[in-house]
Amino acid sequence: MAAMLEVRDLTTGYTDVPLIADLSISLAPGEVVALLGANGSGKTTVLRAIMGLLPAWQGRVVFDGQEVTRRAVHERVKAGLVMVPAGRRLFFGLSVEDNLKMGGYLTWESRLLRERMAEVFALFPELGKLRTHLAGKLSGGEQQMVALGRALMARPRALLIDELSLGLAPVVVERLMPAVEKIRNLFGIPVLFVEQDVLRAVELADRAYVLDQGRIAMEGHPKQFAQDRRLIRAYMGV
Amino acid sequence: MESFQFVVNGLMLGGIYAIVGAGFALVYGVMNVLNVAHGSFIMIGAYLTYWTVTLLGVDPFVTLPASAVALFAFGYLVQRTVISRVLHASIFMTFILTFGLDMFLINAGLVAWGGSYRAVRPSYADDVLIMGGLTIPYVRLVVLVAVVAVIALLLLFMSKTRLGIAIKATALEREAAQLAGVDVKQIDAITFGLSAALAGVAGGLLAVVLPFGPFMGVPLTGKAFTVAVLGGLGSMTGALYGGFVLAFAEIGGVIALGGEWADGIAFIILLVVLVLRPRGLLGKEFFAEVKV
Repeated sequence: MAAMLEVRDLTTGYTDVPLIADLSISLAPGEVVALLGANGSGKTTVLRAIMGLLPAWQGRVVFDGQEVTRRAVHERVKAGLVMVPAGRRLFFGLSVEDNLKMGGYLTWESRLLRERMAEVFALFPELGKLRTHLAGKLSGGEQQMVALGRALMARPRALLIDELSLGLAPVVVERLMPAVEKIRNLFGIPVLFVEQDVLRAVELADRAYVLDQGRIAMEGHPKQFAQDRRLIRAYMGV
Repeated sequence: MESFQFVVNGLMLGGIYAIVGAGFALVYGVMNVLNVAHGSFIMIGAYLTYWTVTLLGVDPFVTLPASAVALFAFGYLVQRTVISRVLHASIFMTFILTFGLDMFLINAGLVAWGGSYRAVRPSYADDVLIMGGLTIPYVRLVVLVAVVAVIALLLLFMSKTRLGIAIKATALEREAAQLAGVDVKQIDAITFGLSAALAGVAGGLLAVVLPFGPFMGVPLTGKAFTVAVLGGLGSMTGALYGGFVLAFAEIGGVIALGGEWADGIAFIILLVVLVLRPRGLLGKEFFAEVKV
C-alpha cells in the first residue's frame, strides 16, 4: 500500500546543529503509528518538521503523493495534514465553540461547521455543555478534548498528535486514549502520535518507531519493544 | 448643564481614543509591534477627509468609509513591504523602524500640505441642537453617533466573522492558528491594515472637531499607547474601555487643574499604571499576556 505520509532523509534543527538527521518514517492509510523516545530525542521536532513549522534542511516530506517539503503550514493543513500540538495550545481567550470553529477555518461554512461540531460533541459529550466557556477556563482533560476536536474540525486526512498525555492525570489519559482509536475507526484516518508512555503506546499502535538522538533507532511492533532491553535503554536514557 | 457637556465631550473624545487605541492594541497583540507611526496614520486620515471635503464638497462623515478603505490598503502594503521584515527581530528594531516611518510620514505631510493648521468645517459647523434647555453642537452629536457605530462594527467583526476570530486566534496562539490553516502572514498584514483604517477614521473625526496639522499624530501615538496599556497591552476590548477612561480623566483633569495639563495627564496615567499594574487595569483575560 502506498504510504499516506512519507518522510525521507529529513534533517533539520533550530540552530546550526541538526536535531534530527536523515530521518525516514512512513504512515500508511488507516495505520496508527507511535513515535517513541526519550526526552530530547527529537520526537516533537519530527512532527513540527512534517507540518512545516520548522523548515527542512534536507530531505523530503511527501503527503498523499504530493511533495509538501517547501509548502507553508496552512497549505499542508489544506491538503489534509493536521496536527494536535503538545500542551494543547488552545486559544484560551476564545470560547470552546470558537476554538472548534477555528479548527474548521479553511471551510467555514455554517452548515459544515455545525455538522462537524456535532461529531465532536458525539465523541466528547462533556464538551457540549461547555460550548460558551472560555477554553482557558477548562480542566486539562477538557482542553485536550477541545484540542482533538479542533483538529477533527479540519476534516484531516492524516492526524499527528503530540503528547496527548502531557501534564494530564492518569485517569484523564485513560479516558482520552480510546478516543484516538475511535478517531481512527470513525474517520478512517491514519494517526502518527508522539508518546512518552511506552505502555500506553503499546496498547494503541499498530507500529512504532523509537527515536534516539534524532535518528530512528528501531522500528517494529510496539509489543516487541516493550520487552526489548535496547528499547528500555534508548527510551529511559539509562 | 456643565456636567452634561462633560459627559458628551468625554464620550466623544473617549470614543475617538478607543478607536485609536483599539487599532494600536490589535497590532501589538497580533505581531508584537508597538507602532510608533500610528499617530501619523491618524494624520493621514485627517488630511484625506479634509481634501475630500474641500475638493469634492461632500459631507465629512461620508468620507469616512472611503478613507478607511484607503488607509486599510496603505497599512496592508506598509506591513507587507516594511513591517514584516522586522517581525522576528528584537522589539527595538520595530521601534526604530516605525519611528523612522513616523518621521517620514510627518515630513511627507509637511512637504505636501505645509505646516499650517487646517480645519474641516461642514456647512452645519455652527448649528446646535437644543434639547430641554441643553445645547449640543450638532457636529459633536454626529461624531458621537459615528464613534458608536464604528465601535459596534468593530466588535461585531471581531466576534462574529471568520476573519475577526482568526485575528484573535492568531494573537492568542500564533502557531496553533497556523495549524488550523490560517495564513498568519496574511493576518499580520490585514491586522495592520485594519489598525490603519481605524486610525484613518479617527483622524477624519478629529479633523471635524479640532484644528490639525502634520504633527497632530505625535501626542496621539502617546495616547494610543496609554490607552492600550490601560486596557492591558494587546487586548482590543481593554483598549476600548481604556479610551473612555483616558478621555474622562483628561477632561476632568483640565477642569480641575487647567488646560495646560491636557496632554500631561495621559503620561501621568501611563506612568502610574506601568508602575502599579503593568498588566493593565481593564485587560481581558488571556489577551493581555505580555510577550517577550
